[in-house]
Amino acid sequence: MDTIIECDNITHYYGKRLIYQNLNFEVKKGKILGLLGKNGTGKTTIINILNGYLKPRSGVCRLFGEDMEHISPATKARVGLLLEGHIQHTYFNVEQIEHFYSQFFPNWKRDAYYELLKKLQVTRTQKLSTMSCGQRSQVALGLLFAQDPELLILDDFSMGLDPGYRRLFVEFLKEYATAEGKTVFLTSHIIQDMEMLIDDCIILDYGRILLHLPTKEIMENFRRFRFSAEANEISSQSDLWNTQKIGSEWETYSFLPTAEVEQRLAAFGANKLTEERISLEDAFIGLTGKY
Amino acid sequence: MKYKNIISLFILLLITVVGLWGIPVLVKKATYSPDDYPFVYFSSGLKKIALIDYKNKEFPMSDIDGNKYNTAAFDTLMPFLNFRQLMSDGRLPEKIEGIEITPQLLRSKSVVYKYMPKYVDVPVTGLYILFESMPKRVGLKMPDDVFRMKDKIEFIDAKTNQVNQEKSDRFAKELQKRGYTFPTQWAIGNPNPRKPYDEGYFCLDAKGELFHIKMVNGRPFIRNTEASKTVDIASFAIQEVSDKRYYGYLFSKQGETYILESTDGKYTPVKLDIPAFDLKKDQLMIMGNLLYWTVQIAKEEGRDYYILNSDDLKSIDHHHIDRTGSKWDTVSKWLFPYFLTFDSPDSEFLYPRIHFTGFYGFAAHALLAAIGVALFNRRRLFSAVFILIFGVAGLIGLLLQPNYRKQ
Amino acid sequence: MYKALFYKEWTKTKRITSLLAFVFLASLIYTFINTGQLFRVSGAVEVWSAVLLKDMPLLPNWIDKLPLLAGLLLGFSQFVPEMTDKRLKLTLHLPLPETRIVATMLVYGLLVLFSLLFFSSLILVVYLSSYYPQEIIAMMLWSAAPWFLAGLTGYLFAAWICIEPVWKQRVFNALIGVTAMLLFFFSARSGAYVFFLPWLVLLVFISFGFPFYSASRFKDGAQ
Repeated sequence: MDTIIECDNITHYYGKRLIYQNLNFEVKKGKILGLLGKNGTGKTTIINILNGYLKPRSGVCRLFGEDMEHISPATKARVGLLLEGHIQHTYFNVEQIEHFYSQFFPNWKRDAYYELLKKLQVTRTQKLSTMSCGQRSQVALGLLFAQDPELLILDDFSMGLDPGYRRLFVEFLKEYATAEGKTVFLTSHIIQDMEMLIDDCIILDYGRILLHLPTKEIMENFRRFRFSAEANEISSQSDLWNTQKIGSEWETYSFLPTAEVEQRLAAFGANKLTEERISLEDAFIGLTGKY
Repeated sequence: MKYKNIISLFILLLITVVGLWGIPVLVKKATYSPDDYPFVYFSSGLKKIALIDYKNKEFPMSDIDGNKYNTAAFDTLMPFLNFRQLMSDGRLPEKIEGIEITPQLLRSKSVVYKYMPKYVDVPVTGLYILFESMPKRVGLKMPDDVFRMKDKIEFIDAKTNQVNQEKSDRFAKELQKRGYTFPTQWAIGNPNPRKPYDEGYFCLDAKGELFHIKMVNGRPFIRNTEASKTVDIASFAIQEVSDKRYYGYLFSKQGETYILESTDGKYTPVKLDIPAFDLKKDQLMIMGNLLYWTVQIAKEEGRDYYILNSDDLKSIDHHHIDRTGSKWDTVSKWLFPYFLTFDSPDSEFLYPRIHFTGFYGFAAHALLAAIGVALFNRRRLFSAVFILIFGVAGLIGLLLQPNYRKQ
Repeated sequence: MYKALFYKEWTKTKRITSLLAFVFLASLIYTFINTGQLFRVSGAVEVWSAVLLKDMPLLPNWIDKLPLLAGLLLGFSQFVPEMTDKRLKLTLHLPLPETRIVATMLVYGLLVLFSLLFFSSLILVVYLSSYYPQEIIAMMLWSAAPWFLAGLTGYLFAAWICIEPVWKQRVFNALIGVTAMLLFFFSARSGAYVFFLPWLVLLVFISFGFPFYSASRFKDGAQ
């Protein structure tokens, strides 16, 4: 399988604050990869580095095998970029912006754009600056679909969208990516709806990657366990995530089978262990903690 | 992006160049005071050069031997300078050095002229205004036309903005007859209607010959002055003096000064008995009276005063005063080994000029370079050399660059 | 593709360009009225001699800053929208070499500015030629040349300042820009700039590079 995105030993600081140390990951062709992390973990930073809009302290990223600082025009044409906040040139109106972008891409799919916009209550001469955040996001997405790039990079596409728009966006995206074997790299801090979209999941913590697994694997194996315990403190255990007392009960998260969790906790006098299957959002909280 | 380093170097150079001009301008504003020279004039009463300090109310005058004179003595010892005061006091002598004097005579022999390099180094439009030299009514009148003189003579009527062909032809024919060769190098006149009479223009033709051109009763009056036979002419300044003794001042390329005397319709250059001066840098001032001309040459190092007999312009006395200099001289010497200006007191043109003040200033540059090296943590050698060459301006240039200050 | 970039720049600047065209036209009309009145009241002889002997300016004295104003407004109207929400990222992401994208944007601005100045001067020269001989008109153009160059330089400086990503550096750039602008506005008699003009033209060429430096810092994500 072709590697579309490659991040090789990226280390970056803002001033003295470490953002990541030796970050490594790859995105294979045809995958939808979600980069999930709390605010301030550097999701946008990675997008900027990927597209050559930020020079990291060290390391290199490659898009289609090209060094991020010297991405050729041909490669740029293969990449669709959605900036955080659905930024677009808002001084254009609906028609103008389509006309503008169409000049740059020989395989421009005009219909894809207008197809998407039909669902919106906007006129063709309406300026983007007069639109709502949701409407603008559809315009931005429509432009990306019309560009029909091999790789979509979406930075926090769900930001500021109401649930309906978000769902709409996700559905369009899913259909687009699976039907044509496109690669999608997206970031989000809202995990709802992600489980139906992303194939692979990178969960980012401050300074490092916490986890990089197929979403399916997380959904199938990662569980929440509730139990009672005699001990007042439970020292942190490998493979048990965020063990903590909530009221009189304890909870912990793990990929381990129930029997093994029980065994690990026996030393602390745990009993009444129950296991729960959880949503991706709960898994995310289980992995990163609530705060 | 490509060329980033070269562009950043250009930005640095721009800041530096602006700094090499701007910083000295500010320092000069803070430290400069004009040179303070006494007024120097020849006392016909003492037969000596005297210095006058008008701020001293009691003893305004002193001679070069240090004797001081009060106001009354000053008036009498310098009757040419003070004849109006003497007249109103009723003290004007009937004769000075045996010559019977009248206020009219004194006035007609009085000469004041100043040469500054910027009078010559000045943009010209190439259009000139020619008066009627013999107006039918009293006083000179602004004519209705102007003329161009560069490649041909052409009079342009102001009301119609059209060439007056007939008048132009008349002058062109006369110029040709008198042997004038275009293109004109320069044309000097004094087109000011508030003067006693008009002598038109003096023009240097392509062959370097000086022609006198004026208009008399609407007819061209054109003469080759033949002055170029004796003088290697650099420039001319026309002055319609009251006694009509001469047409103006002629300067040779060697820096000698002449008056162009008018003798029976002939033009005779008469040399002033003063040393040559630098027409591009020095200033000359003539204050003449019936008997003596005091000629002052102002140079960078000081001023020289030459006293000439007014009839033959031979030197009879000389005095020199050193320039004292102001705080600016000292400050600039130690702060700026060189600096940049765009204007100059010696020219009406603007363009970059570099002024060297000596090598002392590089000591200050070296000190700044040391500070700079301590301030910066990258490209230290480059910074040190840069500041050593460009001083404060260079340091500021580096400080205003991004990524240069310590993180 | 370059046409599309021009289209984008035009969309951003059409209002300000129309406004500038209007201001230039209004200034021309004002100058015409002024000149006409001057000749009627004072008479051609008086006016010509005042121009020749007292270096009376042919144009209203505020007109010297007009090209600079035009350059700054045009520069800001082009590059402030690019820097809002860092939209320049989208622009640079277009499938063209980045240097060419920035160059095209600058060339657009310079062309608009140059056309404004060129056609205004043309109209001015044609009109004033009925009042003044060519030498006076030529002198006026020599005097106006540094103002025109100030407009072009001011435009490039505005781009340089706008695209710079770090606010502190932006303030520094603005200070440098303002100081450098003084070079174009020394009070001097007509024609005094003749020998200075080549240097100022050189400055225009050099400052064409400055916005690229800012863009390069933008790309590096300077903070």
